Order: sequence, then C-alpha cells, then structure tokens
Amino acid sequence: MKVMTLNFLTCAVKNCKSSNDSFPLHPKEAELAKDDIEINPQLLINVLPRIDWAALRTTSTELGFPTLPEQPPSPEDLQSDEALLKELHELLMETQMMEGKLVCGHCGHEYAVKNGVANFLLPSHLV
Amino acid sequence: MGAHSLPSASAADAVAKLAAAEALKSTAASAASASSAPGSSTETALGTAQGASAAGGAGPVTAVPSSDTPSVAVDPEAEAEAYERANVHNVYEAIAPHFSATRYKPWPAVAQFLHAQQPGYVGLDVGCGNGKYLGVNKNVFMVGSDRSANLVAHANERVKELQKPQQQQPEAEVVRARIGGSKKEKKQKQEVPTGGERESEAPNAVIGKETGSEVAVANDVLVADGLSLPFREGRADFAICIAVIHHMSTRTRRQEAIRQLLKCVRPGGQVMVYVWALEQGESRRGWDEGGEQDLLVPWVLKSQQPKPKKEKQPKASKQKQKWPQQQQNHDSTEPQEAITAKNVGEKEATPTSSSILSPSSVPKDASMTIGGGTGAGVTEPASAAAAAVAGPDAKTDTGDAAASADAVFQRYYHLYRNGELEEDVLAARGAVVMSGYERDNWWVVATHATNDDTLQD
Repeated sequence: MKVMTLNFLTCAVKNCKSSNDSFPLHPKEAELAKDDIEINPQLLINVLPRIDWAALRTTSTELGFPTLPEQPPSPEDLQSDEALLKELHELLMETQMMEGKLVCGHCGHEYAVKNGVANFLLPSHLV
Repeated sequence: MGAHSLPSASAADAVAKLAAAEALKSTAASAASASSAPGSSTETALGTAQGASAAGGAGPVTAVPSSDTPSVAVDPEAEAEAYERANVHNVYEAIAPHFSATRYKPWPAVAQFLHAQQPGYVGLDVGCGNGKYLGVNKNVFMVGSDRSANLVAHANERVKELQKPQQQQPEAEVVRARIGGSKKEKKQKQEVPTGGERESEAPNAVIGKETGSEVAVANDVLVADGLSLPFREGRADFAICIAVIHHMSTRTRRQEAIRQLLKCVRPGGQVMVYVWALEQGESRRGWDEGGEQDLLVPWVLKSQQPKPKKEKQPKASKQKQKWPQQQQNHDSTEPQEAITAKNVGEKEATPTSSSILSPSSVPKDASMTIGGGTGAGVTEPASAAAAAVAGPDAKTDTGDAAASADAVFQRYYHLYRNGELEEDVLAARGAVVMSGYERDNWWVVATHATNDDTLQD
C-alpha cells in the first residue's frame, strides 16, 4: 500500500463517503518499508495536481514523517528541482505500508493491511 | 525548492527506522517481502489458494462461511450476494493460481483505452484479477482492486515485478525456463479455463514486464468489493472494469456496479466496462442471440498426475444450487464449452503455467493441492454442484487423465445481449461515449451524464 494510494482511499462504508472525517484514512500500528522504484518525472509532475495535498500532509505526519509544507510544490518547482522530485517520489511511490490498520475517522472501522495489501471487504452488517 | 521542503533524507531515515529490517536490505529482498511476506513466489503461487486463511490479507474472504448467509438470507440482495459468493468469489479464490497463469494478454480495446490516458492520470482497475492491465500504460498510476484476495496476491506480485529497477537477470531466467519447457512445466498445464471471458492466446507469457518494457511502473492493489469500493469519489481520471460485472447476478447489482464506477471518476472521466456477450456466433461455445443469458460456466482444474492427492472430502453438499432456471441450458452449452476450453487451455497454459510465478520448484501435485486444498467450506459447494451439473462434461475432455481427479468449479455469468450494456450505463446515470464488440465481448466507454446532479454528493 503506497502513500500515493492512500490519498485516493476512503472508507468503504456507504454512509461514510459523504463525511469529511472518512478521508484520509488513518494509519494505525503501521509498519513501513521502502521499495526501490525508478523515478518517472513525467508521471510525478502530472500526478501532483491530482494529489489532495492536505490529506497527504495528514497521512505523512501520521506515518511519522516531518511535516510537509502547507502548500504543494508547483510543477515548475518539481521540474527544476531534482531533489524535490526525488523526495516526492520516495514519499508517494516508494514508501509502503506493509502491515497495520487503516482506520475510518467517521465510523471507526479498521481495515487490515497485511503483506502490503489492504483489505476493504466489509462485514455484512456494514455493507 | 525554496519554501517547499519535503521530507527529504530524513523521510528516508524515518522509513528506515520504521521498516522491517529485512525489507530494506536490498531491492530483491524488499520486493520479495513486500509482495509475499512469508516466502518465495513459489509459496505464493501455490500457497494462497491452499492456505487462504493463513495468507495474510486472504483471511477475510475465506473466513466468511458460505453456508451462513443463505440460511439467513431473506432479502433478495443478500441472497444475490450469497449466490455470488458461492458461484463467483469462492471460485476465484480457489482457482486463482491457475486462473492467473492463463491471464496475461490485454484485450486490444482495453489496451487502446489505457494507452489513450494522459501521463500522470490516476486510474482504477476494479476487478483487476491478477493485474494484467496494470502497467499497460506506464505513465499512469493505477490502483487495482479485486474481490478475491488470492488474485490480488498475484496482482501484487505483478506490481512488484513491474516496479523493479531494471535487472535483466530475473526476467532472463523466466524466459529461459519457459523456453526450456521442462517436464515439470508441462505437467503444470492442468487448468482448463472454460470461461473465455478473459481470453489470452498470448504468445507472450511473461506476466511481469512486457517484452521491451524499460520503464519502471508504479501501481498498487487492494482487496475490495465492486459494490463497496473504498475509492474517494470523483478523484480518479478513469476506471476500467473488465470481465467483472457479468458475474453479478441481478440487473440491479450490475447497474449499481456501473454506478459505483462512475462515482469514482471525476467529471469527464471515463469508465470502460467489458462483459461477455450472449452473441458468440463465431465461437464454439454455442451461445447466441435468443439463448439463456444466466449460466454457470465450469472451470476445470485438470490433473494429469497419475497419483493425484485425494481431494478433500466435501463437508457436505450443503450449497444447493438455487435459481434452477439458470442451469437449464447447461446440457446444450457445456459440451461445446468444455471442448473450447480444452483447446484454449492447452494453448494458453503450455507456455506459461506456473513457471512465471515459480520457475523451478512447483510441487508435482500442485494442481490437486490447489483443487482440493482451498478449504472445504469454501470450494466444495461450488465444486459439488459442479460435479452434479458438469460431471459428464468433465469426463468428455479428460481422456488422458483420471476424470475423478479433476476439480470443476462453476462460475456464474450473465451474458450480455446486444444493447444491454448501454442500457445499464444509462440506468446508472451514465452516458455512452462509445461502445463495441470484440471477440465474444461487449464493451462500453461511459462517462457521467451531463445532467447527473448527484455528482456533488
């Protein structure tokens, strides 16, 4: 489970979808790992505007990383600053949540992450 | 960089601190541990189906006893869900390794749709199976989801393979093993994929990187139900749902699935849906216009081993097939289907088998382990029903193997008639951008209807 992916996930429970509390999901007891992935600058620069930066800041902080700046870097920043690009790449693409739970801030349901894969199947009473 | 200082070296440090030590040792170790913590790809390929409950994320799926819901199922929705669990979900859990080994070539129309997406687009693959569409377009980020944890485990393997820094070594080994065509590999060609929906007469059996690929691709996968997706609404640029919705057993659910897909994509975002067609005049399955649309289609796990392990004893044939009307056409459809399947199966399975996932050390009785080891409570209902329905057919295409050793799994399909998919898109408050027919399948590219005022919610 990449940090990037977390930026696009919310609670699978229907009633939670409209709540602001269900996004982003909150990592709990997270075990992280770092994959070695070749950087794809074009993809990253174009992905940037698709990121919910505020949610990324939250996730990043909750995972124990230093606080991100309030505003996202601009595409120009990324284009001209290789180090910045690499940092973003490391955070979004290379950082993996291997084990732990993702908790909905609205209903409190916990989704398990095992072997790097999150499971969003709901118990029948939540469907 | 100025004011924008992202977590830099310190981020990496933090990662390192938190990470399981072995996951960081090397790329190889990282990839291996990330994709299947307990062990090698061999263990994953065979172990997921065998020990579903023990295999990490697989637990929740198999933990749901298939016998529970039917007894309490009073409303149609719950009944439909229970039916799909028995006749779709559990089957895929059981056949995941074999299914995965036969699925590697993208449908042309799907590949075209994916290649049309812009660099940096974020896409979803709902019902991603073994993840064969992840990495088709290397400049988009895709998140695949599937109901089957076992298939997702395979997809995760693929993700890890695709994102590996260029190392010719592993791939070269795979190719060599494949070309070598060792006896062991030949013995792997036990599956007879009877459903042709995710066809693949692929000349290229490499599941990982495509031939000639040199760009590392980042994707991700997760386990989720297509009707309860965890994706934030309106965020994805596009979504695909290939050979999935035809497994849903009521029209309401099929339309709701399309509705869910549409909700995931931003305004203007496109959704491609691909389903098996009723009109298959060109194929030997014998299905065509006017025929029965709701069918159970067998997947035969064949064993060519002289001494197969015994299949686990069925706990009971408790899961009596409901909806008998859906089987009425079996007699007429399955023989052709079985024949087709055999041909397809041999053609497909020979080059790949499990060799990609486990190049050298597959136990000889792998197929039977898979067929029988999925947990009786999970697979037997389908299997038992299958035996009752498809037993004779299974024999017709066994010939060279002990018929009794074959495990037959029935998958439910709704075959779409001409125009039905478009109707469902409209019912899901979508608009049809384009649609077409490709080798026994109908497909549609849909987007939000312009007057869809529910987009805001």
